[in-house]
Amino acid sequence: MTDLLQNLAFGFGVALSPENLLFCLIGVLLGTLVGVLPGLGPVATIAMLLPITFTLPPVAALIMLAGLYYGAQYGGSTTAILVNIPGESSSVVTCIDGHMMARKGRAGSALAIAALGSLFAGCVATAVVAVFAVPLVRVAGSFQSPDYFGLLVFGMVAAVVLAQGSIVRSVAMVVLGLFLGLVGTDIASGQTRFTLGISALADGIGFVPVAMGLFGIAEVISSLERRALAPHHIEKITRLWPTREEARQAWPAVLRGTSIGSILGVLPGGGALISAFAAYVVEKKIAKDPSRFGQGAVEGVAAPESANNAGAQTSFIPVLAMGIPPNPVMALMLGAMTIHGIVPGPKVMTERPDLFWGMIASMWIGNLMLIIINLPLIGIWVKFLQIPYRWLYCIIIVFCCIGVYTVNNTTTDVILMAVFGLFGYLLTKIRCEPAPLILGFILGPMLEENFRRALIISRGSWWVFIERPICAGFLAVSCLFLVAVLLPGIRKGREVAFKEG
Amino acid sequence: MADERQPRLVERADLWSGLLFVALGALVLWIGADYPQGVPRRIGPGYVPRLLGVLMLGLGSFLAVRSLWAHEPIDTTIAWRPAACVLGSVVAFALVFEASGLVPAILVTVAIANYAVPDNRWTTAVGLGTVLALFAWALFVKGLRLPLPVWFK
Repeated sequence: MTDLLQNLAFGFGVALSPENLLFCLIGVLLGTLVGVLPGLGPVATIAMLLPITFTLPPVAALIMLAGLYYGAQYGGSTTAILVNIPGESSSVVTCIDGHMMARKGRAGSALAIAALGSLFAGCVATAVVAVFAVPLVRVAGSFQSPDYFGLLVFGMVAAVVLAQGSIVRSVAMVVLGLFLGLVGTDIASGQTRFTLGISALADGIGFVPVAMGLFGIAEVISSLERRALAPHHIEKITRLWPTREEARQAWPAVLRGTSIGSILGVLPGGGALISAFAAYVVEKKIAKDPSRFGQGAVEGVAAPESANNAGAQTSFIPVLAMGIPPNPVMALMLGAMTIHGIVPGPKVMTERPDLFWGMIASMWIGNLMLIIINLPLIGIWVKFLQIPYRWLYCIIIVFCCIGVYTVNNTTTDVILMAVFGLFGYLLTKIRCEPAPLILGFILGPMLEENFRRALIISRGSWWVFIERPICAGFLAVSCLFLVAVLLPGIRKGREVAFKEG
Repeated sequence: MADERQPRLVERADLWSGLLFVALGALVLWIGADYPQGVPRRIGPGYVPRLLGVLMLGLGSFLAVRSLWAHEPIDTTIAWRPAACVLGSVVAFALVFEASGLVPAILVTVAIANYAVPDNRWTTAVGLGTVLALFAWALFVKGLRLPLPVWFK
């Protein structure tokens, strides 16, 4: 306990330095700004703004990136409430009751409840990260290659099962992602693989062009197709504070949302999206009068908003403790760490305590900043909402191009982004989700490396994956998940859970 | 009539995704055929890709067969104009940037992307392009000091 407090005090010392404070603020501000714009989720936001952090020292860069993330997360809710367009996928459920509240003239209280709920959830979740990261790092330290292999498989299976869309297609997308992650030079043998004779691919396909292509460029084409061009109707904000009655209704929902989000965020495949969905469904289930939902129920805003922020925060645990990203956003954070020369994994905490604890402490501060910049400055964000999409998409494209180029200073990556943009657009046409692909992509090299090492330890016997209890446990649970989700009863439940949102 | 509402075989998502993954799996196995597989205790660069290729082939075949009774439809509309303009503008950025630098690349990119929306006038492209070029120059080159070529050398 004293250790924890000492560590946190140390972290606050790092995060409260004027420089880091400034970058946290810039991150939160920029994140909110881009997050408010419809059609740009956190993945695209972080990928687009990644180059801004290149010239910073690693600690400041990661603090800023974390700020970007929850800024974007919160900005998306503002858009959801005021114009009924989810700024990003995890605010889809906020649209339902949040926008209804706004139409009934309670936009201000919806925004305030979302913000205060998020702040509370963020604080709790940050504490959860601080408490659980240390023991998890210790556990991860005792893991051997077969165990890591099992954990990676479990992560991917859980990600597929907990996400939307056809299971088999998603599994296939993970496998394709794993393969794409292997393109380039094999570390063990030095052989270049699948480069099709393109020398720029010898270092592998870059993560940023793939992510930006699939989540940025493809999304722009889809938005243009959906004719997202018409000027949106933005609801008026009258008073910012919730009434006593609304606060009384919101409070327990915030608590429930926070617990759900904190737990689901840690799970592989979890994070903001699934947390928000689950919290909404739970509220609806336990409500005395479920028919209020969809008509502007306060709990329908409070619970998912707290849950998605809590989930966003706790999804840092597997990244910081084990170097395994539970969702695409975290995969991007992991990529960013690598760009800054940090090898993610259990060693980060012991070798770079300033980075580890500084980042955790900065989340606390960043959440407070979010409230300050969001409630009083809401008028400014509304102005950004009014930028018509027929200008916005050109701006997005230009920033994507510059962002991708600056990662490696090569135009090959820009072309690659166009290729994956086209691929991503076509994939959505045949109903394949791009998220599993990106997860597989980032895990591919890790999976191969641990697979290789496990077979070296076992002298070539596949039994090693069953003989080691930790690995066998992970693999067994993965199988259980896959079998369970294919059972008719549970499959129906899963489909309903996503539809209700 | 329930039958009429069912999408035809060629409009089913599982068929297309199945064919896609079969093709990709086969491609992986074909290109990867030359990479040494190694022995299990010391696997070569071809081992894991081959495994993934077989998996893709298997999953793809399963999907293709399942399409016989799984009716989820594909989205048959393709937004040719937005797709062509957006992708074209990105490729143009790469080419123009390589040849002449940041500012011309932004101007050309915006000019092409602008055509994705029929109502956009050329004046929008000029105005937006100029503002963006100035902003990007101020932010990335002056502010962040990234080593980007700005204008024709």
